[in-house]
Amino acid sequence: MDNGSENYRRYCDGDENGLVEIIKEYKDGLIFYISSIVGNICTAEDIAEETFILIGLKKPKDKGKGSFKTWLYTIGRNTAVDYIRKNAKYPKVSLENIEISESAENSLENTFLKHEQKITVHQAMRKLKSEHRQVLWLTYFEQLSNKETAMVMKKSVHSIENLLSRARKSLKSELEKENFDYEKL
Amino acid sequence: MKNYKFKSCDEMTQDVFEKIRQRKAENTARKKKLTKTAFAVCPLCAAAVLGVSLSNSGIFSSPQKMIETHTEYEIVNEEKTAETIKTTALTTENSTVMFVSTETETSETEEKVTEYTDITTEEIQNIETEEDTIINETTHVAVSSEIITTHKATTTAPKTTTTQKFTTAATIKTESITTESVTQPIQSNGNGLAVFFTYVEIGETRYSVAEYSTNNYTIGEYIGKVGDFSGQYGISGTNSQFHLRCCDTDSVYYASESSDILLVKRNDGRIFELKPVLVDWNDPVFNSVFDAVPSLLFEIDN
Repeated sequence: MDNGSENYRRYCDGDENGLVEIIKEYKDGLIFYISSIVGNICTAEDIAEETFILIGLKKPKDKGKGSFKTWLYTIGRNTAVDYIRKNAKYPKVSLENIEISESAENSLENTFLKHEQKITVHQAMRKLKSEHRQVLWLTYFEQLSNKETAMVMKKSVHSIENLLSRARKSLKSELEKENFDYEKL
Repeated sequence: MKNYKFKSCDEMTQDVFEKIRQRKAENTARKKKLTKTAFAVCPLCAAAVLGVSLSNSGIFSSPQKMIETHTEYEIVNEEKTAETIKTTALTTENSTVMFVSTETETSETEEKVTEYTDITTEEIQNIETEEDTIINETTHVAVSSEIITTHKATTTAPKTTTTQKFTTAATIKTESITTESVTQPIQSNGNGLAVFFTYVEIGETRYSVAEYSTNNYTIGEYIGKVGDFSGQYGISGTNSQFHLRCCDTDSVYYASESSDILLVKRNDGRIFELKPVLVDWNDPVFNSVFDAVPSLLFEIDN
């Protein structure tokens, strides 16, 4: 049982510090993952907060099929998908918002990713398709296995492998455009 | 370019808990409102359902309407698949004596014919005569084929009556009735749907119509509906004037004056007076009567 599960169990038993620990531990990663879905870091922060509220309010049961992170990211993804569905007709993102979003993402990258190579790769990922961004984030940054990635993205392991392969090719071409040596990664 | 400041962990934690509390309060208020509405609406719904069910059960419709809308009735019949209906009308000097009954195998032990006369028209002199004489006199009247139609013929036949033999009816109320159900539609005689009355049988005693709209007796203890007893109250025939109509929902009472007399009160308020009757229909003197009255067959519902 990882820390996340233990903290969540504590919270369900009435200890609010359990949720505090979960937020501290998973907040940034969840925001980046949701950002790979919605394409906007500001919106991703709101959705991440909504995900924690959902967990805190409804206390859904963790069936223990995968790790706590997998379960939390699945809920985050569902919340993001709901958001996209609701706002599909009338997107609210303005040009100004996009500029703010890019600068905010840069600052968060600096604090969360720290490593320069990772920051470069993450910046290159912004230009990829949503699915490619998701699969690369979960595999390379969150270090999830293909099976766990498949669980989060609700796809089969085989399609995750295919998706990952295509995402790598896309990322390679993007990095090469910026004269970055992909083979060194 | 504007700077966007991300929430720190503490800020986000604070926001998350605040929103959780807020939403819990909203949910509680919503539940309370819902419960209040449900409590307000439930009695109305229950009343509506009760009203509809009562209305469908026909409790608000008039008894006459109930009879008219009744499509089936049950004839309580004895075990025989067919019975021969024998009708005879005996005419005395000033009154018409009428009885309608059916032949059953159990009547073999009966020896005498019990007749009832209309006492209200004239006082009847009891003349003790020999049994054979009585039967002959009766035959003299009954043999005539004219008996199919009701007539008040004035004959020279002496006013006769025999000693009445009743079987006791004291314990009949609690006896169980083994019957076979026959279902057929109610016959219409032009005066609304009705069934034709011949007799009601309770235990060993058969009660047949003796008087119509009687004033001789007062209604006593209620013992059930016509349909609760065996008998042939659902017979239709060509000689409907010999039958008195009644419905299986009509009420049966003992007469206050005598437990041997039954009173059937129809829904329209009219009353039949029923008295025990024992008829030996196997007596050959009735042969000519049987020839004159067509037998009525019943379909047995298997």
